[in-house]
Amino acid sequence: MTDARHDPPPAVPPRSDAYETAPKGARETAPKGARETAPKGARDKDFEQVWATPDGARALSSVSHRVVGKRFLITGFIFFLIAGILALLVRLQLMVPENTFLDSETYNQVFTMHGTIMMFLFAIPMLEGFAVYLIPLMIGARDLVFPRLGAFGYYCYLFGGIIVLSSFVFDAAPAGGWFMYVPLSTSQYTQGLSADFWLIGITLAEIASVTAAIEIIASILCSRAPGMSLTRMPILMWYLLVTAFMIAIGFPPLIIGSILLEAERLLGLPFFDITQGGDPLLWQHLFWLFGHPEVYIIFLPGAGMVATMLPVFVGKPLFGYGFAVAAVVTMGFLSFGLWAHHMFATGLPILSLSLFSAASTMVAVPTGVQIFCFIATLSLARPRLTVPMYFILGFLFIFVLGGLTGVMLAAVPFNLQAHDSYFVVAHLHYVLIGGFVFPMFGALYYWVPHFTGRMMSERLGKWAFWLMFSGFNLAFFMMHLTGLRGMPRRIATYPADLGWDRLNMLSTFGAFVLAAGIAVFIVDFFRHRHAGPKAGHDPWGAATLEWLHTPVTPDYNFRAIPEIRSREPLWDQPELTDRPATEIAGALRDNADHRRETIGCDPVTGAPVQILRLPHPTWFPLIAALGLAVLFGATLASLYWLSGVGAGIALAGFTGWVWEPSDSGAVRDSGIRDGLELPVNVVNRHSHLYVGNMAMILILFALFASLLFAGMYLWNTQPLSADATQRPARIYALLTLGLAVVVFTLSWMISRSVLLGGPLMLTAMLNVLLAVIVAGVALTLTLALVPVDPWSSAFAAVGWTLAAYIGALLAVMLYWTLFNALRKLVGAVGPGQGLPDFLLGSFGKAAAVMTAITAAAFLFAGTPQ
Amino acid sequence: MARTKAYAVGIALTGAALAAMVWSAGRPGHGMAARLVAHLAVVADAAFGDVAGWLRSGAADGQPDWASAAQDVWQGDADRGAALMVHYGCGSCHVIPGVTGARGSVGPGLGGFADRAYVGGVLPNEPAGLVRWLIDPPLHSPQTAMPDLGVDEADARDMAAYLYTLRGG
Amino acid sequence: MERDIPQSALDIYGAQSALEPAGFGAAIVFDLTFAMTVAFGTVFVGVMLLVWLAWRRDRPARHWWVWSGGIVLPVVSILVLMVASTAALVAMTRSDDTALVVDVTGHQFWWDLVYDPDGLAVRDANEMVLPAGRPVTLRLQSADVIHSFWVPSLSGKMDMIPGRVNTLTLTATEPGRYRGQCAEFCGLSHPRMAFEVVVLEPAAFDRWLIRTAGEARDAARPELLRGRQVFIDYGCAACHAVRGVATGARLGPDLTRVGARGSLGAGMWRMNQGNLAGWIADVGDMKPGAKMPSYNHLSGPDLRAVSAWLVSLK
Repeated sequence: MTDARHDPPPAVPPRSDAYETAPKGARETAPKGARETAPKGARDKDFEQVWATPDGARALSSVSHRVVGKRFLITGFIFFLIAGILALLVRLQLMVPENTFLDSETYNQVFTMHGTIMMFLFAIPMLEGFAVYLIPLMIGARDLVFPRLGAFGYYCYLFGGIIVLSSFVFDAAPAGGWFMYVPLSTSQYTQGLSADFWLIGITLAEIASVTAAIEIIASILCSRAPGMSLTRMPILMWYLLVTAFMIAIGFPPLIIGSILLEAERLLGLPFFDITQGGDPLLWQHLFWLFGHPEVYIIFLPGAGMVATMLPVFVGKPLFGYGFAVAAVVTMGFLSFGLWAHHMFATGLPILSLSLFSAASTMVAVPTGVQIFCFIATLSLARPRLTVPMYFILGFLFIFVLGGLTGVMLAAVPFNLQAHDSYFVVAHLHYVLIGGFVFPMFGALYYWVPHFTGRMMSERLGKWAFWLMFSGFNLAFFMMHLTGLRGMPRRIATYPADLGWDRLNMLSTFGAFVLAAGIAVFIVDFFRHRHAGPKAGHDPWGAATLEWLHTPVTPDYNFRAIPEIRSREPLWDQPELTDRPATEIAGALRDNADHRRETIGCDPVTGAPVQILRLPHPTWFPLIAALGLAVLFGATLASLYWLSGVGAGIALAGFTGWVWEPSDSGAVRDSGIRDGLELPVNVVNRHSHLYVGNMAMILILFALFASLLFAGMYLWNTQPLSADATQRPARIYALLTLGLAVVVFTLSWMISRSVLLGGPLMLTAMLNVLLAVIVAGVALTLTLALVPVDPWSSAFAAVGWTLAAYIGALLAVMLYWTLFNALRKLVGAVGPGQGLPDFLLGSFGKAAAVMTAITAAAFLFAGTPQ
Repeated sequence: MARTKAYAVGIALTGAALAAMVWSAGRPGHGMAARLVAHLAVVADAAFGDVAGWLRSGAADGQPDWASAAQDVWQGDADRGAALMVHYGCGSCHVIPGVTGARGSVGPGLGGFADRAYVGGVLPNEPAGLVRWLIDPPLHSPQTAMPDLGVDEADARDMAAYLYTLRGG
Repeated sequence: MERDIPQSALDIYGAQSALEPAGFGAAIVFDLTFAMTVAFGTVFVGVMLLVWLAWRRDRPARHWWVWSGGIVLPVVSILVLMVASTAALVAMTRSDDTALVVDVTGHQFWWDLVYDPDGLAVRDANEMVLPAGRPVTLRLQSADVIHSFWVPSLSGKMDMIPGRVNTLTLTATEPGRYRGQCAEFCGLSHPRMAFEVVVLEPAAFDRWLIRTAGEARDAARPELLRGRQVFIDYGCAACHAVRGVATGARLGPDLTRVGARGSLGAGMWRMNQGNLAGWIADVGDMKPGAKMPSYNHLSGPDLRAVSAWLVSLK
């Protein structure tokens, strides 16, 4: 019997033109100054040891995506269970009318925390966990492109979640609903620290979401395997890419809103106070500008996981890949135009009502396209009914029903009856549990063999599914009727004999059946760790690259990064499956520098353009996150000196993190055929750091735009107060505008200097000059606002907040320019290592634009008095 | 064979779930079927009550149950009494087991009322005294905060009968 | 002598269900709801059937499946829905100059009402009386946080937001009692902020309005005078107005005809002397978060007297 592994490898396909030449300028740059060798202590490590995860307590310093991904998943699941128990408490209280199991205050805390934990501490981190774990494995990379950012994000999430949960211990759990409407949540109506726990803890946890968005965008665009063009990516990558862009644009309004509300509570600034030109609806707009995209952010990865698993169990590629991609991108854009359908009862003008109603129904179209692609895939062959497939079928049933009630809710007259009633509670649980939780459980059954190397039980899995499916429908289906019978949301109890009694009792019963199903899953998970059958190679017969190794995949993911020629590499490329995974031909088999590295690609075509150097385990992300946690926690406790200490720790952590210069300037043999040499960490627009920087700038613009929105909204709805506000000093606003132009020019000059290979001294001088100008801008901006009292009106307060935001950007620039100059001064960087200055150039231009817009607004806002 | 059994179980369970959902949508106390059921429940309850009373009365040792007889309110309907307590608003001031929404803490809780010695601190706890108290509390205790709610004798008898079912609280 | 005791909340409070419409707006929405349920229910069954068919067939799908199912079908149904719902919305929100105007102000946790604010300016609280068959324009405001006015049997809801006046036009079509409830989370006693709407025949409503505009039917029997004195002596008039006895206070509900209301505490307990006495003595226990302090320092006789007097104000 011949062993295919000993046959000569199949003929190499002809070379594509994309690989013809190395990028211009790569060979000419001398490696002088580049770190050619491994950091201290790593010189003698072989490939496996370079990639090994540290053990014991030092595992906390690991930044590898597999470790960070599992941390997100485990922590997220624990929060899911906590929030689930809170839900059972809610249902126990509502089981009979006039129940006294929980008093009003406790009930309000319980339902608030249930929603808050589920939305912020479970759903988003869980999808981040899947993204962080699966993306490099599916695109053929050895790690994400910003591992330290991922680790930092996880610790911020952990500490933020602990702050929020600790509110129970201090008997100050938030009780204002997960949406924290004002004026109820302002300092006037909610005394004490409960709302502050929410605002401060959730904002810290949200840092994880935006850093994950940056990481996902840069990794998917810049680190795919050679030959994996955008149209050859696994469909899940498209879903995650769109989700990441939605996070980048959708989270900033909530961050800004939280900052405004916290400023109101801490400093008394009147953003939402109608007596001072504020508006309670401003909070609702900011919240729902986030809140609506948020639910699609939660739904899309679930649908993406269905799109990944479904073809595997049918044995055929996904039907209508192009349709599905177009639908996902459309949904991403459309979801930002629907937010006011949460506000139909607030007295919006009839034109707004009609527009938002129409847009809300329109989103059913791309959703329907995806569902029909899934159904069409089912028809391509006889599907296998495995446990994940059960959950996919459950998704189809539950999510489609939820989507249809959503279209009903988009009709304004119906919405005016169903809004804030149990009909909406039923709808939101159908789409969230159907659209995310069911696919998540399917995904857990599907990928757990990848985490642990063993299969979970088919029998217990079916029990878990049927208990969850039936319990869910028993609990939530009749809630549609409960709402139409007049039961409002968020009520701790209800009178008897209004027709709600039996409905609530049935819902409680169903909730416990659902919980039983989840309990079966947990039992099965722990049982399979020692008793489950070992998973063989590719146990599901999947097509994507994460199943290349026999589970468990080694720490480095790919010994050599293979070239990809198909969307289903394991089905279409025999050279990947006919030999042991460690012997597959590909790039970067050599490890001459004893550094962690992977291949960087062109964002569209997937052609290899650089070698990406990746960080080794480090403590700095944990230190930085710890510093932030101390900063946030101390502010909550009003111990402001401790906040300063925390800020110092965070700054030290960040400095240590970025101190080590990149290896730019070196050129290495990539191991792709014909000795293709690639530069290490290129210093141009192909750099993953450039793409990440751009993603960060997108987030900064979204934050800025949210603040501008707040100002323009108040100017539009409270014109008397806005016009009566004192105008900032024009001369200083004009000066700021002028200096902003200078900042723009200097930033542009710095990045040109790097690209053209200018002398280090020149760039250093430009750094220092920029630092001085930036300090000047901060001064002129402050002087412009001196005549304006932020407490005089909401409009003035927004103006000050805008300036504070610009001030924060300027502070970052100050630090960055001086840091760059310092490193050149001490000789820590050499020529060709200009990435920090290249990125500073883009950041400086963005900050200059935002400063100029702010200065222009100050020139015309308000009236001089 | 196992397949058919699985389908049968599935259909049965689905049927049960659907029946539960239909049941939950029902409004108790309305419609002819519900009234019929309620009437049957009253008849059955009365029958059970007689049997239970006979059992409780210690027929085993042939001795009459003086304690229960002493608290037997003539022409008192305990179920109607519980509904009357909602009607008169007793629950705003007293915690009363078995009466929905009766959680008031203005006056003493009425759990275990049957075991108490006095009514309102002034009258002996026996049907005559309790009925008189309920009809006009201020007459018997001029400083009491419990108002004269215009309770007539029939209503007072019903409420007294209910109160004497509250034991051991 | 079998007296019929009201057994259930529905006998006292009236319907609180969008599925039992008794108003013009609610009836329109009921028809829309029914139509949508049938239509989307059919779509749902159809999609599930398609899943089952796809599972069993081995012939691969064509692109036109996705086109028709995923794009054409939703677009057509959405257009139909938009036309129907816009028509319904226009019909529901049509304002009427001859409408009766009522100012409704939401507080934590009660409802302040002023009928015909530019004319008779009759102030009342918590139980709204409306004429059948005549449009009513409610001007909804809030004195503190966001509340929402919702009587499911009569019409859709509208939020009450501090700083703005939202208008809700409703027309009750059938006389009867209906219950409404605050539908925007407003704090500790949000579940206990309900109210009742009594719909009368137009002639009866006119009589009621004139009667309510007048002074309180006060102290009809001499033994109630003590209660009125307690009301004044203990400072209740600082928050509660009773026309003809104590005027000017607007911090709490107007009590001129409190005894005539069917419920107490904003639609939560039946109006009778027992509940009133319990309320006055310990409102903090019945409705946590209510701004009214518990008057548990009243003597027993004083409590009986003032509750008797209040329940006599019919």
